[in-house]
Amino acid sequence: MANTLRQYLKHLTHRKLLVTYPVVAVAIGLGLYMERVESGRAVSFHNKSHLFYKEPSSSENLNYDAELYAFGKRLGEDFDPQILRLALTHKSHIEAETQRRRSLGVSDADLNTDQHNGLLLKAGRTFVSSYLLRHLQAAFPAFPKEGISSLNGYLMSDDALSVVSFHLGVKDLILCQEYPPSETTLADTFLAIVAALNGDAVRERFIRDFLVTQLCGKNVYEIWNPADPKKLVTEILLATRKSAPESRLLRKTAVNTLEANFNVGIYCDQRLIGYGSGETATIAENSAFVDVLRRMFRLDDSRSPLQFPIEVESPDPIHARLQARE
Amino acid sequence: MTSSGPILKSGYLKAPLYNGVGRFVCQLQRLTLKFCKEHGGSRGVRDFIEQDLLNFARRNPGVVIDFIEQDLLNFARRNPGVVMYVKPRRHRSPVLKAEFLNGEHHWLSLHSMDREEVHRWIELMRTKSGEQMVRLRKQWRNYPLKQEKLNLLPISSRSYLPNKRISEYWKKMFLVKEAFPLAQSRDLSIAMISRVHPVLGLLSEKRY
Repeated sequence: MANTLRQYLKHLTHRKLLVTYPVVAVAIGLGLYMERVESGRAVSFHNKSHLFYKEPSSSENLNYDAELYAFGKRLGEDFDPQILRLALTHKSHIEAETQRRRSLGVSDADLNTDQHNGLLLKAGRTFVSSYLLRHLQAAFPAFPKEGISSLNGYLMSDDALSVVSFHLGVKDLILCQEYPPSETTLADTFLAIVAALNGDAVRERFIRDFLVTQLCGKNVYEIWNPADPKKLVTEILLATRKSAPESRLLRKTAVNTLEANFNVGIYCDQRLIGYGSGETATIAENSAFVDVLRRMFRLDDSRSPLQFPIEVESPDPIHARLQARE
Repeated sequence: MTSSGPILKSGYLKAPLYNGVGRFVCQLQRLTLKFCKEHGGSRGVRDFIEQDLLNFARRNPGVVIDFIEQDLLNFARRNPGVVMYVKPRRHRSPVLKAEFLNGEHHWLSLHSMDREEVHRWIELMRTKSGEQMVRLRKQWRNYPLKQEKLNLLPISSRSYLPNKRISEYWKKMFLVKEAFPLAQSRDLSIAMISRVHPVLGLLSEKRY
């Protein structure tokens, strides 16, 4: 009925109404358009999905088992279907189901209220975080602890995790109250999926292939930006029993123009340990100290790209050594 | 296709989720074939379903293909790697809908296509990344921008550069007399060349 009415109105809007009652026609047209926008059917020229989050039309009759099977196959992992289903079930789904059954007066005796991913989620979070720490330490051996932990924090953030989770295609598989799932839900699902995998080695490879690769093309100093590089350099130098750094103006050019350029070098024990340039001497000095840090942490621009399959120390070195001996 | 037109957006080549850095994941997530069981326009799709679809599904267990038809359900049961539906719609044109892991879906009309064509389009969908089609931009260019020309004109018009080759090249590129006041400093100008020009930049960095 509503559909017919809409078709009729649409027809009127286009033909007669527009001539006789333009204002009414425009109002109806706007109403129809708003309805389309709300239902996600409005047509935008470029990249619809970013503007209107549209539910896939086949999601009404998704074959959930098939989707779960395909999910594992696609990622090249063998999941236990029961555990995978558990990992994708959020607490809100179970609560809503209980509520619904109660309101319908149906018994919820067969509904196990513990059948959600709460435990997997916790286990996953611990595992992912500990592996990331070990991997990052192996990948950036000269990086200080604060840097490693902030990189770890970045990869463990909902922002980073939800992007990975979304691109694994869990959006339609997650059982939860909200659609589309929020960033937190997506991130939690990723952690639960990691825990649902079979075996630590498999989990580690999964994290490396999907999560650690998010560091590709990222500037480490955008993620961890030491507030006062000069102070940090001084601390590190003094801790290694060297003298405090001295900054000297190496060269300057086009002073008093728009494109003034200063070049400052940092010296320690009469050796040049880094240099940088900028439009004022202060900016140049700051960038010189950042350059020193880069060289100290072996993360300068000439560094070779990150290698992903690297030797990562196992969590318990003694255990690993014993295993190797066996 | 013009490069400046509004039809295609431009962008750089990229892979969703750095696909392939860690491991390769087929980006096609779901494939729905809608067709008519009687109409001639769906002939190729019907042929494809009868002859190719099961092979396709067997080879690509990661892609869920929806099947509703009874006969094919049996096939699907025999092949646990593939679960299938096909959506028959009476007297409507056949359609392919491919859904990708990045949330995009691509819709394609298969009207009056033969089996071979259907097969090729599906293969295309299987190998696509699902990203919006863009006109690819390159990281390099073989012409200076206007701003760069303005900045570099003083050098071009005077044989400033100690390197003969660069000077010759520069003169050829801008056969203009000195039209702008001198740059503030020669060092700066050379620094500019090395910054802005992909070829000369390399040369000048090497020589000086």
